[in-house]
Amino acid sequence: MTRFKRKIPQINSGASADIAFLLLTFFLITSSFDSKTGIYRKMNPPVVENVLKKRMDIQQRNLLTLTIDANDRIAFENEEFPLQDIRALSKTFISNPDNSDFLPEKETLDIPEIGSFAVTSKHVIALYVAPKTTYQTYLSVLSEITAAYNELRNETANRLFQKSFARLTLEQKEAIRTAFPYHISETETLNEGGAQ
Amino acid sequence: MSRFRKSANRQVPGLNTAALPDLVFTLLFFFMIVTSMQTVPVMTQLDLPVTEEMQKLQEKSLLVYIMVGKDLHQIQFNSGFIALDDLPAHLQSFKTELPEADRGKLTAILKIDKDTQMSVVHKIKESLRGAGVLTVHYSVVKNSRR
Repeated sequence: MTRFKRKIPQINSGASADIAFLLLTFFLITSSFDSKTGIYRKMNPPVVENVLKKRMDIQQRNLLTLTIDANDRIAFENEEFPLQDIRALSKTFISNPDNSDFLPEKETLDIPEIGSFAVTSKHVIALYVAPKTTYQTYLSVLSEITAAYNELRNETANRLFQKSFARLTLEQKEAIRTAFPYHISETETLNEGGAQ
Repeated sequence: MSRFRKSANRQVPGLNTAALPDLVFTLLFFFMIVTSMQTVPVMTQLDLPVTEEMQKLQEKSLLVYIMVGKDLHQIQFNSGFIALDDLPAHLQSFKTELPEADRGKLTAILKIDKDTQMSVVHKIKESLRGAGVLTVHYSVVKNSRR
């Protein structure tokens, strides 16, 4: 029987902090806050349709034509149009809030989760882009149109479900998407001037 | 007065640093979770366009990277350089390497310089469309003015 307990010396853990720091710096250097971290944007695929062929079938009221020419000028129905107004214009066009005869016709659809909803199912936003347009201008316009759709979806989600679009369930999101479907058609203009 | 007498051999106890590694490990795990390893290196010099609207990239796999910088003679396809005209062939061979079930789920990440002409972008889009890659993600920088 030992009367006195033997003292165990403490393990010196001072260096383990250094090892952890080494690992930390390694990860800091090798990793990068790249595309997946959110400063980038996801686009839906453009509605791929032969616009020129389909144009015959689209009524004038269902068509919104935007043109970007080689000098990065944006035109709406052959008149110059400021970039910052595209969002409001697209929103009015897509939703047709006052049931105007000049804006897209509405079709009452029975959508699950929502019920019957008047959808401008035949509307088309046609974007004509000249070959010499810069990528930045094109994306600015596309961003405004996308923003118009997203704002409409958000507003409707707030009205019907009292939640923002991002916080809806999958079924509810799908319902809102059916109510405001993306209908963007893109065409490259052939002539240098831009407008057809 | 003996109560207040200073003891001659008073020592400052050693600072206990046993919890320091735990702190650093917490930091380490945080960084490991938050960051993502870059699979395709960006070897092209480019300025991305700036827009107000943006969405986060949802897909983490089945991505095709196409990068166009200031030099239009060679565009970056994943981690190699190719000519613009060879893009359809490269897309096709990239697709055949994938399992059949995954071929339709491909997403193209387009990192294109903001001053590029749209004719180049259209050509890329046509190639993608021809190869059946319909989901496109235009990389942009968010405009933080708003």
